[in-house]
Amino acid sequence: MFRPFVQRCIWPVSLLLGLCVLTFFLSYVAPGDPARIILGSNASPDSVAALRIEMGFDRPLIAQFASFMGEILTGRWGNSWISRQPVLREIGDHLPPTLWLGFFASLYSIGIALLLNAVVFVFPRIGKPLIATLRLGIALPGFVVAVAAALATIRFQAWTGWMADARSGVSFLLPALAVALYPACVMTTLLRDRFSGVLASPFYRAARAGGYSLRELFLRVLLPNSWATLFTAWVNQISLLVFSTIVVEWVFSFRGIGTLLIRSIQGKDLPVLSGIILLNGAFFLIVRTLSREGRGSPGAAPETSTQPLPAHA
Amino acid sequence: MSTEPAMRRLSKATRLLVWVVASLALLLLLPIVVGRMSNEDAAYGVRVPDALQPPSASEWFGTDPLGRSQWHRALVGTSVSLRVVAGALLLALPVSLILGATAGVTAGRWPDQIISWFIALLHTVPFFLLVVAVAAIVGPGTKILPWLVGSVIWAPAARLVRTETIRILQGRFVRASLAYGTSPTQVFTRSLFPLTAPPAAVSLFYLVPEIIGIDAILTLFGLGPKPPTPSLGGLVFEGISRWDSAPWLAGGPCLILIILCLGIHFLADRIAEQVNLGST
Repeated sequence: MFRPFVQRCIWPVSLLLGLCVLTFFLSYVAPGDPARIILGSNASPDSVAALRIEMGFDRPLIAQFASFMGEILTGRWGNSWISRQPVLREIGDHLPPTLWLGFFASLYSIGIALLLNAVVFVFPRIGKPLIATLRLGIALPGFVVAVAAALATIRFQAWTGWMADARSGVSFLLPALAVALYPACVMTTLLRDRFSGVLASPFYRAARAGGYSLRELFLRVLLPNSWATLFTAWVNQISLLVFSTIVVEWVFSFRGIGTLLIRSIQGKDLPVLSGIILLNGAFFLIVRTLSREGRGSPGAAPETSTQPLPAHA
Repeated sequence: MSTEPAMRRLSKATRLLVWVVASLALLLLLPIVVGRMSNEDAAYGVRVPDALQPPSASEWFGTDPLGRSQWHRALVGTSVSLRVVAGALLLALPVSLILGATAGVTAGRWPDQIISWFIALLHTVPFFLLVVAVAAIVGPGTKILPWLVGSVIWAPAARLVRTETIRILQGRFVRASLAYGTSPTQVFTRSLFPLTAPPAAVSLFYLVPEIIGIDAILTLFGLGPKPPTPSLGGLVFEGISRWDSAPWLAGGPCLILIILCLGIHFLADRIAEQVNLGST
């Protein structure tokens, strides 16, 4: 009982460790003097040298890495070089808009995928043109779709005059639609492929011959056999959601993780940057590991065929 | 059509390879041709009196706030962005083939475990985030971008090559030819390479819109090509901020972007069709 659990943990934990090494190298092998970046360009050489010793930038690489790991494990992720706030608090402050956007966008994309596929199931005639149109949309770069959708959303909001309070989750209902549009196209076509597979299967024909109604066929045969596909598709689209979220946050000027990312990159704020990368990686690892465990197939690479779809961003 | 019988005499796998090489060559030639088509004077020359002209017969995409021709800027930007795409693909394809095949041949043993671990590591963070982070630290510019994008984008293709290799090596035709005394090198050149290269190339072609997207989001972060040099995604983002007064600024580059991505997707679809026909 215990040993298999440990064995299954080795892989994700080692990846997490690899991610730490990666971010460590990102921040410590970077050209330019970190002490100089913190103090600004007109600080005196003496104070720069003093800060370098104080922050330990002069120690050997291994020692620096050890203290870096220690800080990560104890939850003290350093302070932002721009705002001087602790990194975790900085990220926590910017997290709510991004989480709301991601949450609603996930709901939308799953909802749209299910709805469109239900419609195609009931009216098979529209299936071909609809899926062809969606595939056309998938061929476009995700950011163009997100920007176009965001602009359309702004127009719509201005036209209806409906502007909710920026603090409440309701204000993200419409912008999340812009985030969800592209992933929804991808997920709809993936789910359609799965549905076609089920429709061609003997057990579907058996259920039909057995007198199931359309509703029963959908709810009791198609859906239970497609949850795994839908979930995998969602997991693979998360990175795309992150990408679209940044674009949409930029268009709507939300104070989300995307804004923080832009700020920390333009200011070379390495602690915040590595914090974002680490948290992002940890989140992805957890979701991926859970989805793999959920499917019950440990090991690498389940979703691999020549997918005519961009599965990863 | 004199090429038709010649093409027909080749085996299916070889024909596929010809397709792949041809589309790669096209991808390499396109930025050069587009670069030739563009007029550098019109793209960079500032003519303030002509600022923000709407599209006309002489200026197809109108002019930007500095009076530069948006059409020629879009052409230069296309060539810049396509160069990144071509460089990244040319780097990622061999890397994914070599590493993927190595992992597939040694499936389960340590070389496979190391390679698979790296593939999984690259999948833990969105590709664009990695590229953006490294670009932020190394500094802006297009010189390093193909290397950067290429060094993260190979992972999904390598994963594909790995599973394909495992599948092919278990196939009866490989075991039969090995039993007949075909050397492993011949199995590699005759079966493994022709059967894994096209799917890997196709999966990379499908990532092209995404590479252009990475290119674009770098501009959003202020890490794109140095200011006078335009990039396709950069033009779109710059244009968006003036969408209400001058929609042609974003509209024109968007049009080129859409046509480009649809074209590459169409090409990849054609190859994918044949790959799937060949495997079933």
